[in-house]
Amino acid sequence: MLSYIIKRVVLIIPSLILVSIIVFMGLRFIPGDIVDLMMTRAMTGHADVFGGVTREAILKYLGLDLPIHQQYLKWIGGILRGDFGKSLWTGMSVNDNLLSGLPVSLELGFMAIFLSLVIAIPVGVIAGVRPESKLDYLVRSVGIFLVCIPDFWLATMILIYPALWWNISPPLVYIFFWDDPLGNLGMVFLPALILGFWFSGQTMRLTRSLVIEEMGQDYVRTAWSKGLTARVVVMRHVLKNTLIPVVTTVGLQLPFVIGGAVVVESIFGLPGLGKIMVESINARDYTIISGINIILATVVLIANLLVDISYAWLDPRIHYN
Amino acid sequence: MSRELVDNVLSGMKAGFKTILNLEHPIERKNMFFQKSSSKLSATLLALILGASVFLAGSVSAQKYGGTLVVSAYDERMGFDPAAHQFDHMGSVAGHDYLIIPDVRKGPYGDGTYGLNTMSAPYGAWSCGLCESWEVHPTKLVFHLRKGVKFRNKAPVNGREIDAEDVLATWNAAIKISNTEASGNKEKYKWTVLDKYTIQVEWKTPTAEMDKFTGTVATHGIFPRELVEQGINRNDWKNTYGSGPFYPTKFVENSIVEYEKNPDYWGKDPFNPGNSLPYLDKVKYIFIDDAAQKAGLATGKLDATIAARVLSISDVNDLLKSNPNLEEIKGAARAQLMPVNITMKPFSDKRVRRAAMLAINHEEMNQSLYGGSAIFPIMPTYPDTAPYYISLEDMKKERPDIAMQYGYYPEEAKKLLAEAGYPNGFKTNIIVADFGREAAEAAALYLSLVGIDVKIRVVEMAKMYSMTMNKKPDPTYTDMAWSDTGCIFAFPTCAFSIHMDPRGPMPWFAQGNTEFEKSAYGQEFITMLDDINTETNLDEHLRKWKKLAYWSNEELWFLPLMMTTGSQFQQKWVNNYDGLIGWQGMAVHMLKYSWLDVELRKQLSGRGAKE
Repeated sequence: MLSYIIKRVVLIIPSLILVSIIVFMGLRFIPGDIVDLMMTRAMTGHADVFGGVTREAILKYLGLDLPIHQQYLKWIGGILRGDFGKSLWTGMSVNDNLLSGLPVSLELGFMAIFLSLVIAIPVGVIAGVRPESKLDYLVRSVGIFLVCIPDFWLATMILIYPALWWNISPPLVYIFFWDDPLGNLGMVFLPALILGFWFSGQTMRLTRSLVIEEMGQDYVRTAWSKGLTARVVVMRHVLKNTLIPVVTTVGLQLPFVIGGAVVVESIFGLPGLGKIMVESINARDYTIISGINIILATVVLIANLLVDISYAWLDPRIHYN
Repeated sequence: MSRELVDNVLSGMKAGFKTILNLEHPIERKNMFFQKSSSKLSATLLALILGASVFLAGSVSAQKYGGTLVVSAYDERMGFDPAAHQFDHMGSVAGHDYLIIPDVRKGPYGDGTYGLNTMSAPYGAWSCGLCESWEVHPTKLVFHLRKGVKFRNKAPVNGREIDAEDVLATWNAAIKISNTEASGNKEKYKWTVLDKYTIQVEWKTPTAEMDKFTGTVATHGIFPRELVEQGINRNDWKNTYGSGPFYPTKFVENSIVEYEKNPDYWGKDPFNPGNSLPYLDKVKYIFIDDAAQKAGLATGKLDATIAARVLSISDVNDLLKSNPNLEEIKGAARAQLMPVNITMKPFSDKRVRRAAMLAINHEEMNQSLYGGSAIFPIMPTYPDTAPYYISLEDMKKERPDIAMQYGYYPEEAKKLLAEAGYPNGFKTNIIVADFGREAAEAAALYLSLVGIDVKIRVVEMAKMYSMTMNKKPDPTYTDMAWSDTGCIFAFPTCAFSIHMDPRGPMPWFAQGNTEFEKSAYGQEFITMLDDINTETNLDEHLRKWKKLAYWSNEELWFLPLMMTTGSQFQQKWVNNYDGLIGWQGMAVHMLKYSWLDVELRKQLSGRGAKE
């Protein structure tokens, strides 16, 4: 098992290198570059400027006049030293962006997954144990509804209408966990719930299907015939086998949840990586975009490794060599 | 309290004295030492009486001190280095002063000379900031600094007095940063320190537009030279050492900037000379989405917004209905122009361009999209740029043929199209960024009624700017585009220089045609523009400017639509704020005049002074 883990950790490195190259190069091919944006901004200030501010001067100032491979090596060298560079617009350290934004996004993402599992698994199990019942139909309908409803629409409705009708709104300024843990959790709860709805719907339906399948297996029939209670049959036998595919789904969904948090972060004013990323993409702030992408890629790769390792815990038949 | 009392008395007396002897006026300065004794005595007595009156008026003024103002803002890649971010009003400006600032006495909460339909201090609306006076010469400005204004009391500056060397150091730092306006002007302007409190800026070519130069050169946040000498990182918000009214005390990117009052700020309220500024204890700028902003305004958690956003009429009505404490303020949003490719058919024919203008029902568009609040004509400049602005009424008297273009004459449009060889119209494209989509769709609808079939293509703003800047032909761009001209400053030749000058980098009307600059048509414009820029006699300058303004309206390299006005909101308990939409990006500076009625806020929203 240890050798498996070490091997997987080592394999993360070439994956990250590939991601870094794709992200770095890909940004340069997006239509509309930062130099044009900066020149437009400089020029629309006052009329007699354009003769002085030149594209070449800005390229040189930003270090974008170097050959692309040199820019890449310079950037990757900085990352290996723990320096993600400076924002091309503000001159502020990208490290600061990452340190402030990453915990927010991770908290939101993990809380979304946690809440969705807390809702989806019990409900899915109950529906699976009682197939074709009224509860089962209700669960399936709710599951489809949660999958279909767009999170940005839901977030906007939940934010605006209580404010207009009942004078209720969440705090406008983000409360950091270390400033006020309860306040922070209260603030993140609603956006996490909204973000987790889609995943919850998926998981609910998957869990239901898996439970139905497992309940028809011979070992479950054996458990019933031994006189075990329903609670023991379901919780100790059925659930464990059901969770393996669910855990796989969690691993696959994690990047979507964290990445998909962009809209929810923007609507609720949470200063996570998603919001920073969107602003940076609009501004073509290459260093910030690249830095965030590398961090998110690392998080996803590590999360997938943890998911794989968890299989061995869930299913004793699984051994990693 | 006692300090305020003494300040009030002294200010009142000084105000009274100055009123009598007109000491502050730079031209009609009288030397009091040559006056007779009796007149000196009566002047002093009168000054004391006036001073007492002013003191009493000041002591019962409505302005209240204290409170935290919470304002929603947009994140515009703000930065804290005043050399690099001249107009980042949420970043660098708060902690720094400019040599000159917009004269708030002429603004919306002053005598109302200038409204809010401006992104810049209008002509004639500058007043002294760090300077106590300035001299205007044909090719130089000389600024006399206020004495006794100090930087922040923090090492390594330790509250040192500002002097002319700091102004020079600020300029020299700005010109080294290649994406700044200053760097573009480094060959043009020369700054020289004349003495400890006097600095001048010179340039070679005299111009009649002195106001524009004043606004261009004298609006840098002045910081201490030690920051440059000691290599202190000015991008770090903690390294704010200026003399401004507020200092940043917290910054979370994409979330919040908090400012606290500078307790040693030198400024006084021009409406109440006895009152020290600022009134507010704290300001919080929070970066939130439209939905969160709406919720905050409705619930009273948000005190005001910054920058006017173009909201739909129903959105505005919803908000005002939800919270009776809200006040809406209309202000400048953006000017909308449609450049057309004048070097290719069909828009190379002036009749086609005129037909397109006549086909669009500007007034109906204004009423249905903007509730009647948009402004036109705006080509080449907009209201609040007197004496340059040409109103529709003036246009009707002087050039009714051009005024007609802002009316609605679809039959005339069809006739012109037929004359130009398009009796059945033609197909064309509009490329637009998301913010212009609504207006583009409206314009396209009107054009379709005369046979011009428009396909609208929405692109991302960064791509759009790149297309605007790119002189190489773009095969995806053929005919029309969209321009959100940020150039709606009180700088009348801006629209010509930036958007119409073929030598400039944004000649969308001649997209891909690199020969246009040398063509007779291009040279005709260039000759007129250069003539304006080198004219030193103001009357002649205005005459030539007007001629080019009408020429540009006739030639229609851009189809000018209208300038939208956006909505900004503030709660009833916010005073002397009134939008602060632009004014050369000095919104935070203007905040020093704002004040909160904290008791009223607590009564209406339940929020305490510090919330």
